[in-house]
Amino acid sequence: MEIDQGFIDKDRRGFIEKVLRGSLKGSLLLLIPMHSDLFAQVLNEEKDKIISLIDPKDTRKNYAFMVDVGACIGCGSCCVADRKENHVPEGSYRTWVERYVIDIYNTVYVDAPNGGEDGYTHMREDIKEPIKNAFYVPKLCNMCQEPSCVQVCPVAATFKTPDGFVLVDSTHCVACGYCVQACPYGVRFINNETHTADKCTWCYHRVSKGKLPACVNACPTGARKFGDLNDPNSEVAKIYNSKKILKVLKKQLGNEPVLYYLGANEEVI
Amino acid sequence: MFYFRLVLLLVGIVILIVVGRMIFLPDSWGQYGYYRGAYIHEEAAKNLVYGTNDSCKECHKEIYDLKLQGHHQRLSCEICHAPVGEHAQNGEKIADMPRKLGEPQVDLCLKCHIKVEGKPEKFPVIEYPKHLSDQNVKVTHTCDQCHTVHAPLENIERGRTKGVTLKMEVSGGN
Repeated sequence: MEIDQGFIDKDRRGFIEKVLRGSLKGSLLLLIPMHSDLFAQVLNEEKDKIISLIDPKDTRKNYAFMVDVGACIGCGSCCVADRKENHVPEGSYRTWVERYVIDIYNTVYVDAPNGGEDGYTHMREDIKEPIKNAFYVPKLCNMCQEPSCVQVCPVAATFKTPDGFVLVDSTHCVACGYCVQACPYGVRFINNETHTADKCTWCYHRVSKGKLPACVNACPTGARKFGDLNDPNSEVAKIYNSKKILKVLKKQLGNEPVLYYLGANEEVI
Repeated sequence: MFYFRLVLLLVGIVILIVVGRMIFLPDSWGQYGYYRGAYIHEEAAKNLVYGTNDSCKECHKEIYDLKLQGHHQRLSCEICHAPVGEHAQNGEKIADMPRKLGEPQVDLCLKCHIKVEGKPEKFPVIEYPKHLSDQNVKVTHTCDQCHTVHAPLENIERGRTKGVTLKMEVSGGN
Protein backbone atom coordinates (compact mmCIF):
# COMPACT_ATOMS: atom_id res chain seq x y z
CA MET A 1 0.00 0.00 0.00
CA GLU A 2 1.44 3.29 -1.03
CA ILE A 3 0.78 5.94 1.54
CA ASP A 4 1.38 9.43 0.33
CA GLN A 5 3.67 10.60 3.10
CA GLY A 6 4.87 13.53 1.06
CA PHE A 7 1.89 15.78 1.24
CA ILE A 8 1.85 15.86 5.02
CA ASP A 9 5.51 16.76 5.32
CA LYS A 10 5.29 19.33 2.54
CA ASP A 11 2.66 21.51 4.12
CA ARG A 12 2.08 20.57 7.72
CA ARG A 13 0.55 23.89 8.74
CA GLY A 14 -1.88 23.84 5.88
CA PHE A 15 -2.74 20.28 6.67
CA ILE A 16 -3.62 21.02 10.29
CA GLU A 17 -5.64 24.02 9.20
CA LYS A 18 -7.56 21.79 6.87
CA VAL A 19 -8.13 19.30 9.62
CA LEU A 20 -9.49 22.00 11.90
CA ARG A 21 -11.72 23.32 9.18
CA GLY A 22 -12.74 19.75 8.58
CA SER A 23 -14.08 19.41 12.08
CA LEU A 24 -16.54 22.18 11.30
CA LYS A 25 -17.60 20.67 8.05
CA GLY A 26 -17.58 17.22 9.60
CA SER A 27 -20.08 15.01 7.94
CA LEU A 28 -20.25 17.18 4.81
CA LEU A 29 -18.38 14.31 3.22
CA LEU A 30 -21.47 12.19 3.40
CA LEU A 31 -23.44 14.80 1.49
CA ILE A 32 -20.97 14.95 -1.36
CA PRO A 33 -22.27 12.53 -3.97
CA MET A 34 -19.27 10.26 -4.41
CA HIS A 35 -20.40 8.67 -7.58
CA SER A 36 -18.62 5.44 -7.91
CA ASP A 37 -17.50 5.87 -11.49
CA LEU A 38 -15.44 8.74 -10.21
CA PHE A 39 -14.03 6.98 -7.24
CA ALA A 40 -10.61 6.46 -8.73
CA GLN A 41 -10.47 10.09 -9.86
CA VAL A 42 -11.57 11.37 -6.50
CA LEU A 43 -8.86 9.37 -4.85
CA ASN A 44 -6.03 10.39 -7.05
CA GLU A 45 -6.83 14.00 -7.81
CA GLU A 46 -8.84 15.19 -4.85
CA LYS A 47 -7.17 13.25 -2.10
CA ASP A 48 -6.28 16.38 -0.15
CA LYS A 49 -9.83 17.64 -0.27
CA ILE A 50 -11.19 14.36 1.00
CA ILE A 51 -8.59 14.04 3.70
CA SER A 52 -9.44 17.48 5.07
CA LEU A 53 -13.09 16.54 5.30
CA ILE A 54 -12.47 13.39 7.32
CA ASP A 55 -13.05 14.20 10.94
CA PRO A 56 -12.24 11.49 13.48
CA LYS A 57 -13.86 13.58 16.21
CA ASP A 58 -17.25 13.36 14.58
CA THR A 59 -18.98 10.90 16.89
CA ARG A 60 -22.46 11.40 15.56
CA LYS A 61 -22.19 8.01 13.93
CA ASN A 62 -22.08 4.88 16.02
CA TYR A 63 -20.86 2.17 13.72
CA ALA A 64 -21.55 -1.48 14.38
CA PHE A 65 -20.77 -4.68 12.55
CA MET A 66 -23.13 -7.62 12.56
CA VAL A 67 -22.58 -11.18 11.42
CA ASP A 68 -25.64 -13.27 10.62
CA VAL A 69 -24.31 -16.78 11.22
CA GLY A 70 -27.42 -18.36 9.71
CA ALA A 71 -26.88 -16.60 6.39
CA CYS A 72 -23.21 -17.39 5.80
CA ILE A 73 -22.66 -19.95 3.01
CA GLY A 74 -18.89 -20.26 3.49
CA CYS A 75 -18.00 -19.09 -0.03
CA GLY A 76 -14.97 -17.12 1.14
CA SER A 77 -15.67 -14.09 -1.08
CA CYS A 78 -15.23 -11.81 1.92
CA CYS A 79 -11.75 -13.16 2.59
CA VAL A 80 -10.67 -12.72 -1.03
CA ALA A 81 -12.00 -9.17 -1.08
CA ASP A 82 -10.31 -8.34 2.20
CA ARG A 83 -6.94 -9.63 1.07
CA LYS A 84 -6.99 -7.52 -2.09
CA GLU A 85 -8.48 -4.40 -0.54
CA ASN A 86 -5.99 -4.29 2.30
CA HIS A 87 -2.99 -5.90 0.60
CA VAL A 88 -2.75 -8.62 3.22
CA PRO A 89 0.23 -10.93 2.58
CA GLU A 90 -0.43 -14.62 1.90
CA GLY A 91 -0.46 -16.67 5.06
CA SER A 92 -1.93 -13.89 7.20
CA TYR A 93 -5.61 -13.21 7.64
CA ARG A 94 -7.45 -10.06 8.65
CA THR A 95 -10.71 -11.94 8.41
CA TRP A 96 -11.51 -15.61 8.02
CA VAL A 97 -14.46 -17.98 8.03
CA GLU A 98 -14.57 -20.96 10.37
CA ARG A 99 -16.61 -24.09 9.76
CA TYR A 100 -18.30 -25.60 12.80
CA VAL A 101 -19.55 -29.15 12.57
CA ILE A 102 -21.34 -30.79 15.52
CA ASP A 103 -22.03 -34.52 15.58
CA ILE A 104 -24.84 -36.31 17.44
CA TYR A 105 -22.57 -36.84 20.47
CA ASN A 106 -22.11 -33.05 20.67
CA THR A 107 -18.47 -33.19 19.66
CA VAL A 108 -17.58 -29.90 18.00
CA TYR A 109 -15.21 -29.92 15.02
CA VAL A 110 -13.85 -26.57 13.87
CA ASP A 111 -11.69 -26.05 10.83
CA ALA A 112 -10.70 -23.17 8.57
CA PRO A 113 -8.42 -24.36 5.75
CA ASN A 114 -6.65 -21.29 4.31
CA GLY A 115 -8.98 -19.13 6.38
CA GLY A 116 -11.93 -20.35 4.32
CA GLU A 117 -10.69 -18.18 1.48
CA ASP A 118 -11.05 -20.90 -1.18
CA GLY A 119 -14.64 -21.56 -0.17
CA TYR A 120 -15.89 -24.70 1.52
CA THR A 121 -16.53 -27.03 -1.41
CA HIS A 122 -15.83 -30.40 0.23
CA MET A 123 -17.62 -32.20 3.01
CA ARG A 124 -15.60 -33.12 6.07
CA GLU A 125 -14.88 -36.79 5.55
CA ASP A 126 -12.96 -37.39 8.77
CA ILE A 127 -16.11 -37.29 10.90
CA LYS A 128 -17.50 -40.80 11.31
CA GLU A 129 -20.57 -40.01 13.43
CA PRO A 130 -23.75 -38.58 11.93
CA ILE A 131 -23.73 -34.79 11.82
CA LYS A 132 -26.34 -32.89 13.78
CA ASN A 133 -25.53 -29.31 12.94
CA ALA A 134 -23.07 -27.33 10.85
CA PHE A 135 -22.57 -23.65 10.19
CA TYR A 136 -20.00 -21.08 9.14
CA VAL A 137 -18.75 -18.31 11.39
CA PRO A 138 -16.95 -15.31 9.89
CA LYS A 139 -14.38 -13.76 12.21
CA LEU A 140 -12.83 -10.31 12.13
CA CYS A 141 -11.79 -7.50 14.47
CA ASN A 142 -14.31 -7.08 17.29
CA MET A 143 -13.46 -3.35 17.53
CA CYS A 144 -13.70 -3.53 21.33
CA GLN A 145 -14.78 -0.51 23.30
CA GLU A 146 -12.24 -1.58 25.94
CA PRO A 147 -9.51 -3.00 23.71
CA SER A 148 -6.86 -5.04 25.49
CA CYS A 149 -4.49 -4.64 22.55
CA VAL A 150 -4.43 -0.87 23.08
CA GLN A 151 -3.85 -1.30 26.79
CA VAL A 152 -0.71 -3.42 26.35
CA CYS A 153 0.95 -1.47 23.55
CA PRO A 154 4.17 -0.03 25.05
CA VAL A 155 4.64 2.69 22.41
CA ALA A 156 1.02 3.76 21.87
CA ALA A 157 1.18 2.66 18.24
CA THR A 158 -2.23 1.10 18.49
CA PHE A 159 -5.12 3.22 19.68
CA LYS A 160 -8.85 3.74 19.53
CA THR A 161 -9.94 6.69 17.39
CA PRO A 162 -12.56 9.07 18.80
CA ASP A 163 -15.09 7.54 16.39
CA GLY A 164 -14.42 4.08 17.79
CA PHE A 165 -12.04 2.31 15.40
CA VAL A 166 -8.98 0.50 16.73
CA LEU A 167 -6.09 1.19 14.37
CA VAL A 168 -2.37 0.38 14.24
CA ASP A 169 0.07 3.16 13.36
CA SER A 170 2.44 1.12 11.24
CA THR A 171 5.07 3.87 11.24
CA HIS A 172 5.18 3.84 15.04
CA CYS A 173 4.82 0.12 15.81
CA VAL A 174 7.95 -1.70 17.00
CA ALA A 175 6.45 -5.17 16.37
CA CYS A 176 6.97 -6.40 19.91
CA GLY A 177 3.91 -8.61 19.47
CA TYR A 178 2.27 -7.88 22.85
CA CYS A 179 -0.97 -6.90 21.16
CA VAL A 180 -0.96 -10.12 19.14
CA GLN A 181 -0.91 -12.06 22.41
CA ALA A 182 -3.32 -9.74 24.20
CA CYS A 183 -6.13 -9.91 21.65
CA PRO A 184 -8.60 -12.47 22.97
CA TYR A 185 -10.03 -12.96 19.49
CA GLY A 186 -6.76 -13.68 17.71
CA VAL A 187 -7.33 -11.10 15.00
CA ARG A 188 -3.86 -9.55 15.17
CA PHE A 189 -0.72 -10.72 13.41
CA ILE A 190 2.71 -9.44 12.51
CA ASN A 191 2.62 -8.45 8.85
CA ASN A 192 5.67 -10.05 7.27
CA GLU A 193 5.94 -7.31 4.63
CA THR A 194 5.72 -4.22 6.81
CA HIS A 195 7.14 -6.02 9.88
CA THR A 196 4.58 -4.38 12.12
CA ALA A 197 1.40 -5.48 13.85
CA ASP A 198 -1.59 -5.55 11.55
CA LYS A 199 -5.29 -6.16 11.91
CA CYS A 200 -8.72 -5.66 10.39
CA THR A 201 -9.74 -1.98 10.46
CA TRP A 202 -13.34 -2.51 9.32
CA CYS A 203 -11.93 -0.84 6.19
CA TYR A 204 -11.56 2.54 7.87
CA HIS A 205 -10.36 4.01 4.56
CA ARG A 206 -13.63 2.97 2.89
CA VAL A 207 -15.98 3.76 5.75
CA SER A 208 -14.56 7.25 6.18
CA LYS A 209 -15.35 7.84 2.49
CA GLY A 210 -18.93 6.69 2.94
CA LYS A 211 -18.50 3.17 1.56
CA LEU A 212 -19.09 -0.22 3.09
CA PRO A 213 -16.16 -2.37 4.22
CA ALA A 214 -14.87 -4.57 1.37
CA CYS A 215 -16.07 -7.81 2.99
CA VAL A 216 -19.59 -6.47 3.53
CA ASN A 217 -19.70 -5.29 -0.07
CA ALA A 218 -18.55 -8.72 -1.24
CA CYS A 219 -20.89 -10.85 0.88
CA PRO A 220 -23.46 -12.44 -1.46
CA THR A 221 -26.03 -13.34 1.19
CA GLY A 222 -25.91 -10.36 3.52
CA ALA A 223 -24.33 -12.40 6.30
CA ARG A 224 -22.05 -9.47 7.01
CA LYS A 225 -23.80 -6.22 7.86
CA PHE A 226 -22.33 -2.86 8.68
CA GLY A 227 -24.00 0.40 9.56
CA ASP A 228 -24.76 3.22 11.92
CA LEU A 229 -26.71 2.35 15.07
CA ASN A 230 -27.71 6.00 15.43
CA ASP A 231 -29.54 5.88 12.11
CA PRO A 232 -32.90 4.21 12.83
CA ASN A 233 -33.33 3.31 9.16
CA SER A 234 -30.10 1.34 8.89
CA GLU A 235 -30.32 -2.44 8.80
CA VAL A 236 -28.08 -2.85 11.83
CA ALA A 237 -30.15 -0.43 13.92
CA LYS A 238 -33.33 -2.26 12.98
CA ILE A 239 -31.83 -5.56 14.07
CA TYR A 240 -30.31 -4.01 17.18
CA ASN A 241 -33.67 -2.58 18.25
CA SER A 242 -35.63 -5.73 17.41
CA LYS A 243 -36.26 -8.80 19.54
CA LYS A 244 -33.54 -10.76 17.76
CA ILE A 245 -30.85 -12.09 20.04
CA LEU A 246 -27.45 -10.54 19.47
CA LYS A 247 -24.38 -12.01 21.08
CA VAL A 248 -20.79 -10.89 21.39
CA LEU A 249 -17.79 -13.19 21.65
CA LYS A 250 -16.24 -13.81 25.10
CA LYS A 251 -18.48 -11.31 26.85
CA GLN A 252 -17.10 -12.27 30.26
CA LEU A 253 -13.73 -10.74 29.39
CA GLY A 254 -15.26 -7.26 29.44
CA ASN A 255 -13.75 -6.10 26.16
CA GLU A 256 -17.18 -4.90 25.06
CA PRO A 257 -16.99 -5.74 21.36
CA VAL A 258 -19.04 -3.85 18.79
CA LEU A 259 -19.07 -6.91 16.53
CA TYR A 260 -22.39 -8.64 17.10
CA TYR A 261 -23.32 -12.18 16.14
CA LEU A 262 -26.87 -12.91 15.12
CA GLY A 263 -28.04 -16.49 15.55
CA ALA A 264 -24.74 -17.73 16.94
CA ASN A 265 -24.77 -21.08 18.76
CA GLU A 266 -23.38 -21.57 22.23
CA GLU A 267 -20.30 -23.29 20.76
CA VAL A 268 -19.24 -20.07 19.00
CA ILE A 269 -19.46 -17.73 21.97
CA MET B 1 20.80 28.45 49.23
CA PHE B 2 19.81 24.79 49.47
CA TYR B 3 16.26 25.56 48.35
CA PHE B 4 17.54 27.66 45.48
CA ARG B 5 19.54 24.69 44.18
CA LEU B 6 16.55 22.40 44.61
CA VAL B 7 14.32 24.77 42.65
CA LEU B 8 17.01 25.10 39.98
CA LEU B 9 17.21 21.31 39.72
CA LEU B 10 13.42 21.01 39.42
CA VAL B 11 13.28 23.73 36.75
CA GLY B 12 16.10 21.94 34.92
CA ILE B 13 14.19 18.67 34.99
CA VAL B 14 11.01 20.34 33.77
CA ILE B 15 12.87 22.02 30.90
CA LEU B 16 14.50 18.71 30.03
CA ILE B 17 11.13 16.98 29.90
CA VAL B 18 9.54 19.73 27.82
CA VAL B 19 12.43 19.87 25.36
CA GLY B 20 12.62 16.07 25.27
CA ARG B 21 8.96 15.79 24.43
CA MET B 22 9.33 18.38 21.67
CA ILE B 23 12.21 16.46 20.16
CA PHE B 24 11.04 12.88 20.55
CA LEU B 25 7.26 13.02 20.16
CA PRO B 26 5.85 13.15 16.62
CA ASP B 27 4.12 16.39 15.63
CA SER B 28 0.51 15.38 15.78
CA TRP B 29 0.95 13.50 19.05
CA GLY B 30 -1.96 14.32 21.31
CA GLN B 31 -4.10 15.81 18.56
CA TYR B 32 -6.87 13.32 19.34
CA GLY B 33 -5.36 11.35 22.20
CA TYR B 34 -2.13 9.77 23.34
CA TYR B 35 -1.03 8.67 19.87
CA ARG B 36 0.04 10.14 16.54
CA GLY B 37 -3.15 11.80 15.31
CA ALA B 38 -1.97 12.16 11.73
CA TYR B 39 -2.09 8.40 11.33
CA ILE B 40 -5.88 8.45 11.32
CA HIS B 41 -5.77 10.66 8.24
CA GLU B 42 -3.09 8.54 6.62
CA GLU B 43 -5.21 5.45 7.15
CA ALA B 44 -8.33 7.18 5.81
CA ALA B 45 -6.47 8.37 2.72
CA LYS B 46 -5.53 4.87 1.58
CA ASN B 47 -6.70 3.98 -1.89
CA LEU B 48 -9.74 1.88 -2.54
CA VAL B 49 -9.33 -1.29 -4.56
CA TYR B 50 -12.95 -2.44 -4.63
CA GLY B 51 -15.72 -0.14 -5.77
CA THR B 52 -19.42 -0.91 -5.74
CA ASN B 53 -21.76 -2.20 -8.43
CA ASP B 54 -22.42 1.40 -9.37
CA SER B 55 -18.79 1.61 -10.47
CA CYS B 56 -19.50 -1.11 -13.05
CA LYS B 57 -22.84 0.39 -14.10
CA GLU B 58 -21.23 3.31 -15.90
CA CYS B 59 -19.84 1.10 -18.67
CA HIS B 60 -21.85 -2.12 -18.33
CA LYS B 61 -25.38 -0.89 -17.82
CA GLU B 62 -27.04 -3.73 -19.79
CA ILE B 63 -25.59 -6.37 -17.53
CA TYR B 64 -26.28 -4.26 -14.47
CA ASP B 65 -29.96 -4.07 -15.46
CA LEU B 66 -30.13 -7.76 -16.33
CA LYS B 67 -28.63 -8.67 -12.98
CA LEU B 68 -31.21 -6.56 -11.14
CA GLN B 69 -33.99 -8.74 -12.57
CA GLY B 70 -32.59 -12.06 -11.42
CA HIS B 71 -31.71 -13.90 -8.27
CA HIS B 72 -28.14 -12.60 -8.40
CA GLN B 73 -29.26 -9.00 -7.94
CA ARG B 74 -27.57 -8.64 -4.57
CA LEU B 75 -24.24 -10.01 -5.72
CA SER B 76 -21.28 -7.73 -6.01
CA CYS B 77 -19.89 -7.83 -9.58
CA GLU B 78 -16.39 -7.81 -8.21
CA ILE B 79 -16.59 -11.09 -6.31
CA CYS B 80 -16.79 -13.06 -9.57
CA HIS B 81 -14.78 -10.77 -11.83
CA ALA B 82 -12.07 -8.80 -9.97
CA PRO B 83 -11.82 -5.50 -8.12
CA VAL B 84 -12.64 -2.52 -10.30
CA GLY B 85 -9.40 -0.89 -9.17
CA GLU B 86 -7.50 -3.53 -11.17
CA HIS B 87 -9.67 -2.97 -14.25
CA ALA B 88 -10.24 0.78 -14.56
CA GLN B 89 -8.62 3.93 -13.24
CA ASN B 90 -9.83 7.48 -13.80
CA GLY B 91 -12.58 6.24 -16.08
CA GLU B 92 -10.10 4.47 -18.38
CA LYS B 93 -9.73 0.73 -18.75
CA ILE B 94 -6.28 -0.33 -17.62
CA ALA B 95 -6.53 -4.12 -17.80
CA ASP B 96 -8.86 -6.93 -18.80
CA MET B 97 -10.86 -8.65 -16.14
CA PRO B 98 -9.60 -12.18 -15.50
CA ARG B 99 -13.12 -13.52 -16.04
CA LYS B 100 -15.06 -12.49 -19.09
CA LEU B 101 -18.61 -12.82 -20.27
CA GLY B 102 -19.28 -15.99 -22.22
CA GLU B 103 -16.58 -18.13 -20.66
CA PRO B 104 -17.76 -21.56 -19.48
CA GLN B 105 -18.36 -21.57 -15.74
CA VAL B 106 -18.47 -24.42 -13.25
CA ASP B 107 -16.06 -23.87 -10.38
CA LEU B 108 -17.19 -20.33 -9.73
CA CYS B 109 -20.83 -21.41 -9.45
CA LEU B 110 -20.00 -24.37 -7.25
CA LYS B 111 -18.05 -22.21 -4.85
CA CYS B 112 -21.40 -21.06 -3.47
CA HIS B 113 -23.91 -23.60 -4.74
CA ILE B 114 -22.30 -26.99 -4.06
CA LYS B 115 -23.97 -29.06 -1.39
CA VAL B 116 -21.75 -29.29 1.68
CA GLU B 117 -22.69 -29.31 5.33
CA GLY B 118 -23.54 -25.99 6.93
CA LYS B 119 -25.32 -24.21 4.07
CA PRO B 120 -28.42 -22.28 5.18
CA GLU B 121 -31.68 -24.16 4.54
CA LYS B 122 -33.14 -21.71 2.06
CA PHE B 123 -29.98 -21.36 0.02
CA PRO B 124 -30.17 -23.24 -3.31
CA VAL B 125 -27.52 -25.98 -3.45
CA ILE B 126 -26.90 -28.82 -5.87
CA GLU B 127 -25.05 -32.11 -5.72
CA TYR B 128 -22.48 -32.07 -8.45
CA PRO B 129 -22.47 -33.77 -10.94
CA LYS B 130 -25.67 -35.51 -9.81
CA HIS B 131 -27.68 -32.40 -10.69
CA LEU B 132 -26.71 -32.77 -14.35
CA SER B 133 -27.86 -36.38 -14.63
CA ASP B 134 -31.03 -35.51 -12.71
CA GLN B 135 -31.79 -32.87 -15.33
CA ASN B 136 -31.11 -35.33 -18.18
CA VAL B 137 -28.18 -33.41 -19.62
CA LYS B 138 -24.62 -34.52 -20.28
CA VAL B 139 -22.33 -34.48 -17.25
CA THR B 140 -19.84 -32.52 -19.35
CA HIS B 141 -22.20 -29.55 -19.49
CA THR B 142 -21.15 -26.35 -17.79
CA CYS B 143 -23.51 -24.43 -15.53
CA ASP B 144 -23.82 -21.46 -17.87
CA GLN B 145 -25.24 -23.61 -20.68
CA CYS B 146 -28.57 -23.58 -18.88
CA HIS B 147 -28.16 -20.81 -16.33
CA THR B 148 -27.21 -17.35 -17.52
CA VAL B 149 -24.72 -16.25 -14.94
CA HIS B 150 -26.14 -12.78 -14.33
CA ALA B 151 -29.78 -13.88 -14.03
CA PRO B 152 -29.54 -17.59 -13.25
CA LEU B 153 -33.15 -18.60 -13.78
CA GLU B 154 -33.80 -16.38 -16.79
CA ASN B 155 -33.66 -19.16 -19.38
CA ILE B 156 -35.11 -21.82 -17.09
CA GLU B 157 -38.24 -19.77 -16.46
CA ARG B 158 -38.72 -19.04 -20.15
CA GLY B 159 -38.08 -22.67 -21.10
CA ARG B 160 -35.19 -21.70 -23.35
CA THR B 161 -32.57 -24.01 -21.92
CA LYS B 162 -32.51 -26.50 -24.77
CA GLY B 163 -31.80 -23.86 -27.36
CA VAL B 164 -28.99 -22.44 -25.29
CA THR B 165 -27.55 -25.87 -24.68
CA LEU B 166 -27.57 -26.78 -28.34
CA LYS B 167 -26.08 -23.47 -29.36
CA MET B 168 -23.20 -23.94 -26.98
CA GLU B 169 -22.64 -27.52 -28.16
CA VAL B 170 -22.41 -26.45 -31.79
CA SER B 171 -20.02 -23.63 -31.05
CA GLY B 172 -17.73 -26.07 -29.28
CA GLY B 173 -18.33 -25.23 -25.63
CA ASN B 174 -18.56 -28.16 -23.28
